[in-house]
Amino acid sequence: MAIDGDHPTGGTSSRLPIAAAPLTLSAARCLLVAGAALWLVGIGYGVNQLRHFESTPGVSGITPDVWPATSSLRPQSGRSTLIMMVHPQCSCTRASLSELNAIMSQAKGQISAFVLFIRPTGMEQGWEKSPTWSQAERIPGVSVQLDPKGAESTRFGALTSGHTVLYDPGGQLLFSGGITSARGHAGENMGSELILAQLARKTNPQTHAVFGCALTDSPLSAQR
Amino acid sequence: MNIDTRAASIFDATLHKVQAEANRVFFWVFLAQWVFAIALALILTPYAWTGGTRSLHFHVQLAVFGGAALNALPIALIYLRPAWWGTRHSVAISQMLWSALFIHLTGGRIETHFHIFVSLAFLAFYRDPRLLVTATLIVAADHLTVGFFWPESVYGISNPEWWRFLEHAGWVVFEDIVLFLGCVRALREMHILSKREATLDAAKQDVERQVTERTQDLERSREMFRLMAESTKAAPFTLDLTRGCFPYVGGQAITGLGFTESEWKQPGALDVIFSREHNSDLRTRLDECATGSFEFVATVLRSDGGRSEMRWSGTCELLGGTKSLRGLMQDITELRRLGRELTAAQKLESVGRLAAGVAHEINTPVQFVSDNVQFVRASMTDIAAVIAAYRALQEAAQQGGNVMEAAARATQAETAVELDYLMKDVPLALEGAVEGLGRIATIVRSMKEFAHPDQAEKTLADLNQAIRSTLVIAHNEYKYVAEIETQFGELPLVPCFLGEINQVVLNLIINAAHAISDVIKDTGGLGKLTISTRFDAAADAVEVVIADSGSGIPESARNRVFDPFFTTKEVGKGTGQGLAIARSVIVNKHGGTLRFETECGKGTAFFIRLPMNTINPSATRVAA
Repeated sequence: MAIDGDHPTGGTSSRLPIAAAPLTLSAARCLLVAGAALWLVGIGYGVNQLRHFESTPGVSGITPDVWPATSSLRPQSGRSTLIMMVHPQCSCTRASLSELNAIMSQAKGQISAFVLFIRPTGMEQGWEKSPTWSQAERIPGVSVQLDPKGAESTRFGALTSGHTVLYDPGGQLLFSGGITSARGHAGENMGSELILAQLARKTNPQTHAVFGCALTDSPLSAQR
Repeated sequence: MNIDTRAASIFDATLHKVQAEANRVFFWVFLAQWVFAIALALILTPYAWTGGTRSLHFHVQLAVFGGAALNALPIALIYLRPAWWGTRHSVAISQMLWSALFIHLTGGRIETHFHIFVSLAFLAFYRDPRLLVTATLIVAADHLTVGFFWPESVYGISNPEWWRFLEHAGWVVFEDIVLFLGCVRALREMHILSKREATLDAAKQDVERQVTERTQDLERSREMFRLMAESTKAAPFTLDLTRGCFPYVGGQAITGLGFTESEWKQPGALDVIFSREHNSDLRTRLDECATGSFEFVATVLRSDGGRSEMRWSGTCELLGGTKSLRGLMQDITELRRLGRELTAAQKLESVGRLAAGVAHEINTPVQFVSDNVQFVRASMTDIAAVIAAYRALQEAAQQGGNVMEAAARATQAETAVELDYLMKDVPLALEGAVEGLGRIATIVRSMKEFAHPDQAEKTLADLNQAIRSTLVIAHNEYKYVAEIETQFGELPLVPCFLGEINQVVLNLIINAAHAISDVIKDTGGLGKLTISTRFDAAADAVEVVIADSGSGIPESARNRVFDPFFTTKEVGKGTGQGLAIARSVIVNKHGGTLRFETECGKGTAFFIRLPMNTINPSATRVAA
């Protein structure tokens, strides 16, 4: 492949017959401009699709304002309790756990956290032990548990991986939603800030969009 | 093309080369990025999940198709229009979009944002500051667009401060400034280098032009000299004395001596044409010759077995450690023959010129010898009458005749013939006749000595006697204009070609007589012609001086007196060959010297100096 440029004006036009040169040059230029424009449009379309994919939140269920009594989990006394429900194979889980790590670090012991790894129906045992399981276990103050068939997730209204809920020591809901700004994107986000703010002020429950994979196969969860 | 134009051309060419190199870099970078993006997507985000159901993740599709799309335009343009400005800008746009793609594929990792800065640095390879603007605009457009529509995905919050955009862009602009300055500086240096190269090119072209012109001049000159050299009878040659061959020899020698060029070049060629056996003395001199000029005459062998007399002249020098002779060789066989003929002709001219004088010189003694003989013959008749009277007296006395009468008749007969006179003058007449015959004999002997036959080799000769003989036969040339004064010193026998020396002396005597004649004209007085000889033992040479009291040689003629055909004499009196031949004989054939001292109005003296120590100098003179 020749990619050396030795002609200032470049291109194949210099090899075209002289008699046809003006017309051919013009045609080549038009083709070039059209190609470039088409390329830009294509790229723009791709960028838009990417943005749409990443910025479209998942479906959120209804999170109870009071800690559900049917849950096997209990709110911790003296500390707020955070529960994050994740899909073990979803690539977005890494970003959510990364943000959880940051929250736990900034909360400085004000939070007791659970990360529930869902194992959908039909999945064999151990399927949930993905690299994100280990990632979650490495976060200080976090208890990692399996949520078979998503029973606990359903109780807390979580339909999308990364859904996080925060209850105060009295079992009152403080926050429900995701803690990433887009699908799989770590970094600053409104959800994390709201959680940290609620720890300080404890106002009405706050919500934030959840970006991640559907936790279950239910039509409700997969409607995004 | 002036230097500025040439510098601009070099700058353009260099820039194009640099940009072609950058194209090459980006071609591979694009391919590598595409492969890496696909690998990254497959590792980090292979699938999207819905509960227990998985599907290919959008990132994988994006890496494969989006990456291909990103590469398509710049790679196509790099191939189709490598030097077009649009190609570079498409590369910049595509590369910055690759940064965005990687940031998304890695989940917005801060570290991946470094791709932007590295990409900007890569773009600086093009040394086109405008690309930084394009790249920065793409980053800004992406940031602004996404920040406007999905602020939280960029800034983490839905209502960011207005200056957050500037904070992100600031770092890019900061690098842009650094890279911009780097590009500008690199371009400036390229300008300087281009100018320098153009200047060097101009100097080089000038030198090359001069070299070409000089080479052409040299070639023309060489051709001219070759033609000149090969159009003369003298053959140029180079003789390698170490190998005894001729690496180069002119065509004249090949034609003249009959040996082929390869035979001349063959080692030992010198021994063939110029054998050591027949030229031992000269070959020894050649072996011993140092650097410097040389000249010698040698007889060489021709291919047909004949021999030619060659004059060799040139320079002896060391060429690459090899001793060589370079110069010209000329066949002088014909020249020598003509020279001998000219000398003989000149001698005949002299003999012809002297013939009348010699005849006159002989005629005088012949005349008085004849008169005396006539006188003696007449006296013999008278004496016969007296003898008859006395025989009658003798008969009268023996036979008793009249003695007294017979005695009286005898006395009468003596008285009649003046016997006493006859008895006194007849011996004188006979003595005069003998003297006359002696003078004739002297002239004839001198003629014989003067006309000494030519010899192949020098012989030992009595120069004083030779000069005396020459004076005799030239007597009629000078006797009316000059008195002769001879001062013959005691000389050893001198090795010389006597006939030719006689010719030289005669020429100088005649010239002297003519010079004196011009002075005395009709005054009736006599000039003086002095001839002296001496032996210079210190120099082992004999010197002959012939001086006259003539008018001297004019200043204007002094440098030309030895030139052939140069004469100051009136037409018919001289041919202009005398002194030229004299010099040739003395200098070339005898290795001597011939010089003169002259003073206008007082006369001229010619000095002949003949060395005693050379047997055959004409064939062995080697000057090193």
